[in-house]
Amino acid sequence: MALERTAVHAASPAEPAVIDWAVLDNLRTLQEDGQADFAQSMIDLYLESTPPLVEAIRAAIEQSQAGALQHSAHTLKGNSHSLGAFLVADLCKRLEMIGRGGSLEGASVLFEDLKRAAERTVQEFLQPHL
Amino acid sequence: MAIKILAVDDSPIISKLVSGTLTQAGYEVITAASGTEGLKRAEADHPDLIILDVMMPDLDGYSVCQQLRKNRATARLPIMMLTGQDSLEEKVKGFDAGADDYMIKPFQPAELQARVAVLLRRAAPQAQASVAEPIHGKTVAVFSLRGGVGVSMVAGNLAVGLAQLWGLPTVLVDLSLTAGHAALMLNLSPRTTWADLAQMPVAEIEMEVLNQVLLTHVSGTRVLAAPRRVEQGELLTAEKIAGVLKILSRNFQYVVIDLPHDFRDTTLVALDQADEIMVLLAPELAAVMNGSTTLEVFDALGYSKDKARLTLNYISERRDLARAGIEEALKRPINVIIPYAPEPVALAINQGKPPVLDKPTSEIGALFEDLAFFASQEEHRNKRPEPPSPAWTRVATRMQQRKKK
Repeated sequence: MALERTAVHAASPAEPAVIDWAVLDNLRTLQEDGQADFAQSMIDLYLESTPPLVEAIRAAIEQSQAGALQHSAHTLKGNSHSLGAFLVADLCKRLEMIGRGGSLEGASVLFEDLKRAAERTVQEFLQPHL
Repeated sequence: MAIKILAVDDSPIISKLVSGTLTQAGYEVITAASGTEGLKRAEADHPDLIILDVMMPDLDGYSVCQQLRKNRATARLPIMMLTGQDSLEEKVKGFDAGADDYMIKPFQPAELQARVAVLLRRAAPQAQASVAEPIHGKTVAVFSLRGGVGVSMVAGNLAVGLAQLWGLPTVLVDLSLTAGHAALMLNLSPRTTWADLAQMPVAEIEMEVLNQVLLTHVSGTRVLAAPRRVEQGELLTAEKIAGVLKILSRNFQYVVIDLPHDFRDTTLVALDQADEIMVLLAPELAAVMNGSTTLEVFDALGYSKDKARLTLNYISERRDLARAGIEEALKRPINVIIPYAPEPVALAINQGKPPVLDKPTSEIGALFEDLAFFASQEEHRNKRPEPPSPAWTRVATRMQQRKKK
């Protein structure tokens, strides 16, 4: 199933894939009988925590707080990797590096990309899936 | 009482992933959302192991680790750092702070489970004091340069047959890294596979780690399954495969390898390590030509003549070539003949039931049982096991009957 989904996304050049669904399939192996849907609860946590982190990144850039940018981007990067949201993870990695460097040059432009990628990722996770 | 693990991470997502992974492995997991809370819980809740995130807003993981090491109550606790930093400098910093192990996010659940198991074992060496003497198991590789001649079928039945005969530790290794389905043929879900070893340095792979990755079949046979995705298989090096096979042969009496139809370096290391290679042939021209090439390569590799045993598998009703003709073409005797048996074979593949286990008294089941017996170690073959297994009794009875004829 995951392969089919990936194939559909990959076949549409206008909208490159933002999620590697194989990562979620891997999470499903942690499902225990009789327990709440583990992968879904991870997705729910992601949907809940992503908008505040994006907002924290925006605020850090606006207020030129390199340390805060580094930290929020780092957290969103780790979260995104864990769920296969690789596009957001990649953009966060770049923002984290900028934050570590101290000068926030280029951060605003990257942030716009991140905002769009995060919105698309959230939309995809909200779609009904297996 | 369950082993208790404290996971310290400010991200609820990573925290949940770590606790989900470790709860599934049977541990009790408690969590702390900051470095300060982590220090408190480490002292109050007496965990057996701590997993620490590096980057946290209040106290970073290095500082938490250093403080834990200064406190007598927690000084000797196994600590694993879990972080997105993958530079050598960060790694060294973690070890300097007193961490025992270091894992980079994103991680594979099976790898975290394996590493935690290793850390806990190292922390309790006295519990493992009576480890059995290392053994020198027999490695049998099943090979054909041509696909579709039943390599996986024979390897699976051979492994299960050996386990049924002797009741000794037996492992089936699927080295068809890009297309293997030995696990599915035994009706096992490939939950853990070779892919879980892909990221791990060879030096860190030990039996404890492999135990976490090996699947267990109802016959007791352990199975090292092929990766589910092609690209995962491509990450495995010949060096790693050689290392894993060495460990397996020291821990299992029988190692059966299901090989792909090529002479890549990952296949060659397995052929090198095999004590015996079962070369499968089909009674058709292309298969025999491939068989001939195979034997030439074996000669060039310096393998002794008796390392390879020829097995002719009648995979269809057609008998294009007669046995005598094949033997003449290869200048070698054929050691084993597998008769044409479409129904039991199709059923076995579709339902994941090897005939040697499911229908041991059928013609094909009996043949695989005998095949397993003749592939057994000499010292096993020469002695009646006590108590004799039902499989051994059947093999012995058939041998008696053949002698009478």
